[in-house]
Amino acid sequence: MAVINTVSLTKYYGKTRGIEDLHLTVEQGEVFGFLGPNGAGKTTTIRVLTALLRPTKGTASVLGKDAWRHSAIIKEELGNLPGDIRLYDKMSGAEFLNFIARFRPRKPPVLKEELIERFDLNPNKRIKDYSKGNRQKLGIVQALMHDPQLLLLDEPTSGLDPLMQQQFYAVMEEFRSRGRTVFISSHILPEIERVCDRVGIIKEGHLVSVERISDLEAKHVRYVDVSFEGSVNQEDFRVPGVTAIERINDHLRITVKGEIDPLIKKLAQYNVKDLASSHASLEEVFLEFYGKGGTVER
Amino acid sequence: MNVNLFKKSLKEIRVSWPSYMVGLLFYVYLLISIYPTVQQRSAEIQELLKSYPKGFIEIFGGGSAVSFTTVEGFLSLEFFSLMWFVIIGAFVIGYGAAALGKELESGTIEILLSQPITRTSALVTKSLNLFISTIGMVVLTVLATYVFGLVVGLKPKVDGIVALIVIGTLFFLAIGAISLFFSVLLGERGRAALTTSGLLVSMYFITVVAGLANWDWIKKLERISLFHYYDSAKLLSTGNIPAKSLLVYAGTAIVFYLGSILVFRRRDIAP
Repeated sequence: MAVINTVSLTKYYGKTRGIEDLHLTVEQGEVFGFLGPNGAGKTTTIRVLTALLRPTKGTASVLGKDAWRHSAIIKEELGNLPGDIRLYDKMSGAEFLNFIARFRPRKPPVLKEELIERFDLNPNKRIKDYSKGNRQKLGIVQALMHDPQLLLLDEPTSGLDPLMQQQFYAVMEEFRSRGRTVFISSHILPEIERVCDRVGIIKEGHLVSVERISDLEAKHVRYVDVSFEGSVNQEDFRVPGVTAIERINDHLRITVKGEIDPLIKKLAQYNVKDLASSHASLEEVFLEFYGKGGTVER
Repeated sequence: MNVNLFKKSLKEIRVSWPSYMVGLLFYVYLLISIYPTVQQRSAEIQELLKSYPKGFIEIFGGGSAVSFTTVEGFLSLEFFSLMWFVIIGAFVIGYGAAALGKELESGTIEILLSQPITRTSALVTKSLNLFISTIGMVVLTVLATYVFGLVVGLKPKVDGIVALIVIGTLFFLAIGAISLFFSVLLGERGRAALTTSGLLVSMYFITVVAGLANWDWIKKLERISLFHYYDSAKLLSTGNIPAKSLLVYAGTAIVFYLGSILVFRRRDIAP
């Protein structure tokens, strides 16, 4: 069953494009990543799905119901974490969570205490005294605490420290194992790869591709910066997957697309002094996947 | 209506509304308590008033039955014509603009509308608080003039008090609805409050000029002014509730309230 289904979904802000002709289906039990650079239309899509924005054209259904007309019913089973969340500063964390919980008398916040503990949140402080990270944690707890069927999370790890990010990924795994559907928007590729089954890539308001994560990894671009004891011939490293080799000062920058294993095996034959691997930026991934015009290269 | 949201809204004015009321009631008491002294010299003051141009009296809210010889005339000129509008109007405009404007401006509307609550329910709940506090403010201030009047040995007419409560309540509900309308339309408290205030000041100005000038066009234009249908001196002295005033104020309140719901139901929420 499709939990999210959009057909030709389009949103314009006056003459400014938000999203255009978006066809998207997210199945039940799936963790779906929505990847794109800032301004691509990720937040617009989530706001249309949560009926904060009215579509200019097309339709969106959530949990089998029209997203705009039945939004209040849908939200009984929806947990939403808005991007750059704004909270009621005068309330304490506990007051805020209780206030949110009372909107769903039939869905008690069964995960509230557990999430507060796991995210190491002090609910007794006033929200205005919270750091950005703690505000984000509070936002996550309010979205997840009633164990909804569907989660819409806009840049959920923004402001979280690495430890809390790991905690968040673990919680997402648990939601997946309980058959919940999760829709995560992000501009961080490794994060999407870490938690999602499929990823939709949005660019300039258009959904340019939907990939399984395993397929995405095959196209993945990494940079391996490596320095050696003594001199080496850079052409020795032209193994399968390596697309470019560049000498920068005293080390080599090797660009790898897809499997990194052949390169690692080759490097193991040399005396390596230092090695660092980094992911290509999202823009670079887009250029790699879709070319400058944004069309899909097949 | 959503009880959870209603309680939260009520909590937000638990200090400001009572504080405002205490100050307002104290002002009413001071005003009433000086009337016996004013009454002793009412003949001189009446002569003085006659010497002023009609327009001058109009500017300060003098209606058809302006007189310092009766407590109704005194209250009308000193309080219910201009001061009352300014004091209660400021609260109603501010609160009307903030009811949803604050949530829209601060972006908390996004988290509120992420909950299972319809937009209509959110607006009705928030505005219910506005309307209750407005009615409370009008009823208490008018009743206070009666009660304080009794304390200092005066007795304003009961039917006049009732008439003023009815018309005053509808007048301020109309203002509240206008302010609410502009807040959901513009999405900002400040702009909504300024627009509503500007509109009311313009209406007041039109009414004053229409009272001074003999131009046909301004006499016609005056009909769009809410102040044209309000005469506190007449209300207090006769106790009659003019049907036209009743219809204009109730109609304005209903039209702008329904307009608020319509606009809010359809508008984009994008902090």
